[in-house]
Amino acid sequence: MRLTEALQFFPGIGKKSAERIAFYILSNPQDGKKIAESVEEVLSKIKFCNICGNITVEDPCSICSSHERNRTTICVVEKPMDVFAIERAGIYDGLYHVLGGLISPLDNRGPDEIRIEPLILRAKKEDLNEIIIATNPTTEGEATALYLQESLKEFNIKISRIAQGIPVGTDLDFADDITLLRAMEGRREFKD
Amino acid sequence: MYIYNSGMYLKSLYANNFRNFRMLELELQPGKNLILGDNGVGKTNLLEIVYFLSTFGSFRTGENVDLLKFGEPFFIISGVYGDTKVKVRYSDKKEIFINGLKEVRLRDSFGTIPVVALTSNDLEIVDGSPSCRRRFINMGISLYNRTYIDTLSWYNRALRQRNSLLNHAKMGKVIKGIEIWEEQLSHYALPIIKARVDYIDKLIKHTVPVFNTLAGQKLELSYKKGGNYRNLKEQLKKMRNKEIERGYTLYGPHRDEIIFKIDGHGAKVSASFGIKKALTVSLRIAQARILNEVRKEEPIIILDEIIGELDRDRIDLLSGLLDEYEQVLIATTREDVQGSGDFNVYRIEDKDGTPVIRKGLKEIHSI
Ligand SMILES: Nc1ncnc2c1ncn2[C@@H]1O[C@H](COP(=O)(O)OP(=O)(O)OP(=O)(O)O)[C@@H](O)[C@H]1O
Ligand SMILES: [Mg+2]
Ligand SMILES: [Zn+2]
Repeated sequence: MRLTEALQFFPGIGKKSAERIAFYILSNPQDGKKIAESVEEVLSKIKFCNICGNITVEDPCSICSSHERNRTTICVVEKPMDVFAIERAGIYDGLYHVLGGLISPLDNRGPDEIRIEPLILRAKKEDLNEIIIATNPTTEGEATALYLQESLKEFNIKISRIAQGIPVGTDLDFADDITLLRAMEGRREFKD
Repeated sequence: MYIYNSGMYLKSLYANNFRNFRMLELELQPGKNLILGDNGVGKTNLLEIVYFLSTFGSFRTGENVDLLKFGEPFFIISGVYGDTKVKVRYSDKKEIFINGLKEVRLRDSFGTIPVVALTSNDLEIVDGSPSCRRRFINMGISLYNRTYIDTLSWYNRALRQRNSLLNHAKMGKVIKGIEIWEEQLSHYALPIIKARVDYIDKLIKHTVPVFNTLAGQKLELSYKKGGNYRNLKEQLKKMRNKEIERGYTLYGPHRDEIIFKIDGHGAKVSASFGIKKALTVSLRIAQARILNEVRKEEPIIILDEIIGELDRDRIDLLSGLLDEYEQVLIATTREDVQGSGDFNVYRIEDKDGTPVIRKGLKEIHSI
């Protein structure tokens, strides 16, 4: 059945859960329609912020257009979920930059396939004090951080990397707020 | 008789749908346990359960599905070691429970039950490719150093990433950012090499005398490094073009090699079958002694045959060497091994395709 296959794309949904959900939709067509409509509505309204790359309804997004926030600091993350995790923790009041992936030659993803160039442009144009690199501490996350550090060092901006308070192999969006706080506070400056 | 007072031994085993065991419940004793039975009754399968509870893998197969009783969708195995219960449930994926609590990451409970296994596959440590010897070293270190497991997997990941870039370049694509992978490789290589140097020092210290006891010959063991570890990053950069031609990385810990020489001659090409056996036994005994040295805990030793393949004198010698361990499980078809020491004897028989285990005359398991 194609529906169960499609449902298995969702994180945390295995074959059994997919079958249960599919069966529920089939036996409750009204609920199924409601879900389909709200998914479509969200998809038609949602876009990527032209500045930070986060998902948003308004472009630029509410964070990029806010004047309450510290506009001299950018926190670089892999994906929109990471922005959500840091925002939820309420430990950071600067701006963001979403890369939309990590460098991974195995997946045919080089530096030009993720939003590094736009970040370099921002570093040139915006009046920044600090760029915090908050990619996950995986091999790809570290490699991407290294690449960013190299690409950004010509600017007179402090480049830092969040500390390794996050357990290895865990995604940022799973890390609890305390761990995130510690990681943010313990960030270290990149030095050659 | 020996006095066992640490209580750190496998007290019981349970298995459901593992290999030919539909249902196994077995109490075990400390000291030397002999598991006797004809070919094909399930002796190795029993030892495989113990090994799996330690490393969450088998010494016979890389595929967990092979361990499912034919036609069954899941297996459950568990063991009580001291006061700790380790349980594994497998169907599609592995789930590990320590004292009833589910472990999120497998590596956190790796080696909770310390086990060193001597099996007939061990011959590959001498005869196999260099990767077999690296696997032996990696396993030995992983049993007491879990950070090593992480570092190794990061290193391997970075290696695959760099190799993929080298391959892209070989096919004529323009590549970008290969330096970051070289940086990562040399960064992760450092603790790997350090752990290996340290481990191999210990291995030499413990293997040489045991081998001398068993074989009466002089063993030399050395570590041949797979790269210039004073500056691996520089080496990778310098050799990049040559490596692009090959399409993979030629320098680094993934090219390390261990060399065995017996009385001055390479063991792989010159040693007899029996001497190679003695060497693999010495290496495993050394592995167990190192584990004890760093973890202050005697590992459980399992022997699949091995003992039955040695000659009479060496059986007695090995049996003597095994006295120092809290618990030893030996599987063999050979009745006469009983004469080489104090053993608790278990017998496995096949009853209509089901293994039945007896201790002494008592039938303790039958389903
Ligand atoms: N996945 C499985 N499901 C059911 N039975 C299995 C499975 N895998 C192996 N067996 C059976 O287990 C038996 C082999 O068991 P095992 O290898 O433990 O024997 P053994 O006692 O060690 O024999 P030997 O003395 O020859 O080494 C065989 O009869 C085989 O058919
Ligand atoms: Mg066997
Ligand atoms: Zn934005």
